[in-house]
Amino acid sequence: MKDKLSATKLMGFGHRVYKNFDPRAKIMRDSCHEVLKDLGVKDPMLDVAMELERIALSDPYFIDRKLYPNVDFYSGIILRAIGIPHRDVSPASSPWPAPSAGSPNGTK
Amino acid sequence: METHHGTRATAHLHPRLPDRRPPDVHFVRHDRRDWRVFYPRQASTSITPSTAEGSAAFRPDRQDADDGGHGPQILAGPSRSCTRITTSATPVTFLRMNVPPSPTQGNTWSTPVVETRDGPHFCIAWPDHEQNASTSTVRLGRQVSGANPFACIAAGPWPALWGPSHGGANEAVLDMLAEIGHRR
Repeated sequence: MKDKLSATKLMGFGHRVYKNFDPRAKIMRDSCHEVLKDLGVKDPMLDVAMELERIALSDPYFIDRKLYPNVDFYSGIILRAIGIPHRDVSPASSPWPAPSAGSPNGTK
Repeated sequence: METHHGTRATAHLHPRLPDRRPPDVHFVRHDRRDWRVFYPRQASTSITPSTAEGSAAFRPDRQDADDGGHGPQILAGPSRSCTRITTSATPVTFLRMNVPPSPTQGNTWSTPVVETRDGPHFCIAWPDHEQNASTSTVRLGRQVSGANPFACIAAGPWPALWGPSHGGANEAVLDMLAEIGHRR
């Protein structure tokens, strides 16, 4: 979502095809909440995400513009919650060991 | 990891190359020398080979316990759910093989991700909806060149999905959340 008066973009809200609501987003929303509850994730970034979600679903600015939290919003949260590494994550902080030499991703 | 003996035919991956078409993929294994794909004689149902191949491409670090730890081995399985859910078996199995166990769940898998009461909603709503961009990319690569399956599978998640216009959109959400920051 873009604001015409600002360079800031808000990612993860609305959809260029699903103008009113994306049926997948509702499913993903349920999955997302279930995952966070089940895993008991303590992550300040995800707290921010949940607060953003609450605002987007209740604030008239978002509701009037059909800026509902979309599939990308929820899938991003789910993937972070289950430990899929972000591209900026360095190998040292990855939950998985780095590829070894001789493997397709290793230097040979 | 259990061995899963049921796999689906790979004909859809390269129907124009009959001499190269294996009937089924049993498992994919990597030893120190090369990549190999083993094919069993018997076909069953449920798990597509791309699951194992994709997983191998995604996690080449996984060690093979049966092989004395000499190289990673990805088995097509295990999952009780996969034997009954065919269309969604691929991402479900992929997630089961790749998502680290949850410490808060006693080292079990994060079950809500792969399965809810009514089925693997996440897998259907997000990665596995019919002939999508990554699926098309993988199939196209395999069909036009008959290349190594690992190379073809790798074309799915990375070039087709990574960019900000597609799968990378959820990564952009995380970037935005990081930029917003949070209270200490």
